[in-house]
Amino acid sequence: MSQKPPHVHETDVYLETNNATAHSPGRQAPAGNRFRTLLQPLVVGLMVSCIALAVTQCLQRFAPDWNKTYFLLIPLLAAFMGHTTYRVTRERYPSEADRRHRQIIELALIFLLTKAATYLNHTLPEIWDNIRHWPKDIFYLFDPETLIAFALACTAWFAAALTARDLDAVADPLLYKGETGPMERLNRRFLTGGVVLLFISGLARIDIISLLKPDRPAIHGLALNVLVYFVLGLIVLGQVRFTWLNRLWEQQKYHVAGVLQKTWLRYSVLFLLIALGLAFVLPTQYTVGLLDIARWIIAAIVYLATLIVALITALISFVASLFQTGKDGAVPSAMPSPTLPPLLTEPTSAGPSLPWLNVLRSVIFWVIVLGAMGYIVYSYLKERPEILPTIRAFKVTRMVRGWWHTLRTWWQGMRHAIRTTLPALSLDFLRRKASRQHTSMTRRKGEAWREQIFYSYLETLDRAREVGFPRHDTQTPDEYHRTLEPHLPEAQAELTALTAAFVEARYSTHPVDAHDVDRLQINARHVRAALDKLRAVSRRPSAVSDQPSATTES
Amino acid sequence: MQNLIGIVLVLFLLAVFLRIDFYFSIVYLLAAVYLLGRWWTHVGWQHLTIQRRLVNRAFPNETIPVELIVHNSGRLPIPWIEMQDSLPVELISPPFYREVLTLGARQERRFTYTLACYKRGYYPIGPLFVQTGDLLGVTRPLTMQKAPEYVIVYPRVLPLEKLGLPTHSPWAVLPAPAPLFEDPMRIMGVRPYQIGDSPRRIHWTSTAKAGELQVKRYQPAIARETLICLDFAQESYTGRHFYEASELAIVIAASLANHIIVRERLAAGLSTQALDPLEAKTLPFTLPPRRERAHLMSILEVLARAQMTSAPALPFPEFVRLETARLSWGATVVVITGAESPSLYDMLAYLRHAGFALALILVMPAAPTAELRQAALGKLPVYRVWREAELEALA
Repeated sequence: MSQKPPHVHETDVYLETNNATAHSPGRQAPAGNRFRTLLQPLVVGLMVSCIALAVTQCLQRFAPDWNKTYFLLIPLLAAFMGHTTYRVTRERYPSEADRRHRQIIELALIFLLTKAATYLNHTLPEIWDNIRHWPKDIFYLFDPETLIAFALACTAWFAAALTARDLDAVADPLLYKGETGPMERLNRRFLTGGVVLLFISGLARIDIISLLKPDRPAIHGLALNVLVYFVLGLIVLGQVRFTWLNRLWEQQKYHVAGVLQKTWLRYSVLFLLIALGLAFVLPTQYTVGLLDIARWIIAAIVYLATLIVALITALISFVASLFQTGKDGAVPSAMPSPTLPPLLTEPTSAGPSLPWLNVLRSVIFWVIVLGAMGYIVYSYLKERPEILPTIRAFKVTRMVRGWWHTLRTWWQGMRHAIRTTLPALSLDFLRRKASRQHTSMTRRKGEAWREQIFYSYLETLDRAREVGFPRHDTQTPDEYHRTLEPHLPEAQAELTALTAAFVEARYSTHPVDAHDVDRLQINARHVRAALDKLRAVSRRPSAVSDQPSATTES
Repeated sequence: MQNLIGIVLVLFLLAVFLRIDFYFSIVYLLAAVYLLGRWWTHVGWQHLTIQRRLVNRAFPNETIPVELIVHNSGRLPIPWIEMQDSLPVELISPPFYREVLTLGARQERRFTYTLACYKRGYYPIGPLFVQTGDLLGVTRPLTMQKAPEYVIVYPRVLPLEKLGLPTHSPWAVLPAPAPLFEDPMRIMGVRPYQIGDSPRRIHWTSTAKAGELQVKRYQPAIARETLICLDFAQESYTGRHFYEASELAIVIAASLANHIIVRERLAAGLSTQALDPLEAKTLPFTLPPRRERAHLMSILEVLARAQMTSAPALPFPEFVRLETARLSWGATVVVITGAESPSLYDMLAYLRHAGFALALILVMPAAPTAELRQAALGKLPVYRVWREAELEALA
């Protein structure tokens, strides 16, 4: 008797226990199981029905007399069946061959159901008559309506079975097969289904012949089935993600908070409601296409450029006409100025009134849409910097980068040329000037009073220098005051007050007001008057011998 | 959902081409799912703070409660937070703390786990890995790693009051509490400042001249300080029980230091070469003899984090010779090692001639060799310890 290795034994025990627990009578299904057995097939069936509805609407355009109802109901039923029976057969029939037999029977049953559904609008004699023709003409059995309905049902059945497999694999790692993870497969299936649904819904609403007409009108209205598909899909994906993470956490022995499952569902629904609200609030209608707006912008740039060239040409021709005269002294006529293109082309707006409002709405629409797209791409690339080298390796990207580089080089050369040839008009000059103006204005505003004190004091010093009492660089205001004071006996008090006021304004931080300035200016005027008097005295010849030269003394 | 962006762009182009309004609604819906999910995750992440509170020192057989405080200071809830604190297996089993939680707006949650300290060591608590993301998996999860904190578990300290050693025993020094071993009136010179030196000993003139702190060296009348020299080289603890032997050497050093400083109220120091987990390299640890309680804690901290080294910078005898060069005359040197060797005896003879009181503690199973007995006959106190019980018996 061979002994099983311990780990095999443990696995067997685990499976037996698991199966026993799963199939024990009277065992109540927890909430998670109810979701798995009832809600999941229903949601998947609903999502499949959304696609089926779009297909039906599309078929309605080509075959209006086909029955719309069963085209909708049969895929729903098939999806529900596919989802449920996949699990049942997997649990009850371990053999692959057995499962295949069951699936073939199931498909045959679906075909019969589909065929029976096509007879719903017929009377019994008509049905009998049709059945009698089956052996003679096979196309009575496999008519196009039945075949298309069956193909639709098969697709729904197959997609639902695959979805059931992946949903189970998310919850149970033992069922995980294949290189692509179940989460990724579910996501991919959801998005592919969405694209197919959108495409078919579009086809159902649009005339294919008018596709290439640029001025065809936009199609308004909401496709509810598309919206339901995406909302349901996103909710399911949120729950699937929780299941996936929860399984990983369980495997890694994380302690998961009990409220997490409830809050996850609550937050998911809230989050989707907000996203849905945004999707409804943002504008979806526009009257001026993106190409029209681009054409307008280019036309405006061309117009401006032509206008500038015309002005320069006119200016040059005017200056040239001043210096050039004809042989007979006649002034030649100015150079012909270029003709301006029309400002803007006629907008292809469909709006009956207020065309500028339509244009504005369109511009807002395009700004929002392009902004959102740009930001999405930017965020995505920022999140995944490893993609950037791949994108840079593309030929188109290299070409665009080359163009951008050429444009930048040209612009830098242009700026350099402008700076060297027209320094007075260069941007830097203007900027410096603006900066200077800004600085002086700020100072005038903030420290006006203090600067006026400085100005008055320095003006007085200038006057004293002219008289012959220059201040040395090393002299402090007090030292200079002591030098000057003996020569101005009649203005000693004013000079002292002037020096003190200057020192206070120069070396203190407390605010200076207009009163201080007025008082200082009175003192400064007195001192300057005394200096003028001194200068007048020193210029008289008699005074030269009486008084020593101020220059010599200083 | 990595394909979402591609799908959104394709749908956008399709919407522009076909001019169908509800296509734009779906484009908006998917774009909003992506952008809102990303925004929500990032905003929540910015307002998430995690704090770890613990006492980072413990004695053996004590427990340390660790508290993790997770706080969301923002107005948006954080749908899920996954956090994992990596812990040393010596302190807790399993060696991690894992939690998944959700935090409401301005909510705070506290989690507590307990570390059981059975073994001395220097243990990292963490790093703490935190991860969060959106509900649908449209954006990449954001991860954060909080730097680890460290816990020191001191080595075991055994009582030695029943040691019963003779009066000339190296660590049964003079009982008088007065500082007779240094005469502050007789300055021998200066030496660079070492951690633990009293600020009173700083020689400010020399400090100003040298540009670094210098302390006075006083002429000793009689030294009452003990330097414990611990051999922690791997080659000294061979055999099957090398781990137990090295740990026992640590316990002996810690117990001696505790006995000298706490019971005898005398100065004790420590010199060893060991692997420092802080620096991840072998370093010499030198703590000059001091008698403050804080100094004892410094010695215990070094003994707690010291790990056995396979590549000491100097052979142990040479290291001891260098370390004792700064000791005062008459000081006691206690050498703890796991192996005897001729060079060790040479070094001990040299120290004896230099005027130091000596003691040798051998942590080994076998009895000392004849040569060692010869040395022992020369009144060198030699003790062999192999089990903790023996140490207690000695005490």
